[in-house]
Amino acid sequence: MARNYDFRNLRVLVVDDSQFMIRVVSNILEALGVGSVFSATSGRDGFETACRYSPDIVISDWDMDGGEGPELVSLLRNDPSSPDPYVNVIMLTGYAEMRRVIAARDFGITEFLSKPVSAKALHARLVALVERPRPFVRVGRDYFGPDRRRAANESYSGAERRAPEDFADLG
Amino acid sequence: MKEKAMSADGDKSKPSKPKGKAEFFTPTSLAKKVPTIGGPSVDEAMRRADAAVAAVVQEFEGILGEELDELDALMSSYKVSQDEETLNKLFRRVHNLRGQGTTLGFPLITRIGTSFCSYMIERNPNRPIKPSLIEQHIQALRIVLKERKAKEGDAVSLSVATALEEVVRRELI
Repeated sequence: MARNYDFRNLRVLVVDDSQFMIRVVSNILEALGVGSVFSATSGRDGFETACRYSPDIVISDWDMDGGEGPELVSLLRNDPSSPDPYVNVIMLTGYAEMRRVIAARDFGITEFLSKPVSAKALHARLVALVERPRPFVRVGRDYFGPDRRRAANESYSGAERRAPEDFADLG
Repeated sequence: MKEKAMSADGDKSKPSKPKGKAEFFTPTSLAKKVPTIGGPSVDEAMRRADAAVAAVVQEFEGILGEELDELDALMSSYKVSQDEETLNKLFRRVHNLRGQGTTLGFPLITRIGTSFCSYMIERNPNRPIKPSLIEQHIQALRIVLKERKAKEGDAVSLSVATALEEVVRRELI
């Protein structure tokens, strides 16, 4: 049976230095039924807005005047005043190159969405956050964020392979 | 704050037993806030979303003209100064247009913007920047808008975009 997701309880923060992109993304979110949509125009402003409204999801552009997307993610994940270090972050960017995807992943983003933005792609990301929540991992001081190993690679047997009991507490 | 309290009631404060250097945490699932019934159907949600974007698209054409005026002013300034700061401002504005173009019904803006950004990001550092090539990209963006307003199709824009891509491709070698 088709699932009719009810997003009305979600709080989403959209961060972009383009007012037009903020309007596009916000309009799509509202049309999809998201109950509360907030916006900010820089990474620093985005962090302050996140502290004020405690969003469930932050959708942020990568390159912005007055503060970059990766800086915002770092603040959300690691700053002591972060409202929620586990907040879902969708990184929005015009750069779809693999090196950007990998870099964004290493900054601790949850999902990646390349421009141009479409309602279908945004809806798919929201559903992914609901249906396939990512466990978080802290690796010393090097990384804190969603587990970057999404797919189980059964053929991998190297030193970095995690034992099944590593995941015992994950729901 | 309510949301923060919700965060604390989940499993977030319970890291799994660390194995090696990695510690694992299970954040509170969004599924608790998102019922899978009661919302609009996917088709209905898409219809609403497309209509919402269409409303913004109508305004974009007017804003695009103003944005191109800003780019022309920056370009004039850059031709005189050829400084990094002005070039960065040009890059950022074109980069934003590139991101918005296709979403807002101007795929050629995105295409020309992509060509411009490729030149700026991936150019051979051993070759000096060509202000003339930058200016040609700015002029090409203007042609896209001019053709759209005149309802002339996009034949000229398309051929200009293709030519620019070819020039940039050679510059990246």
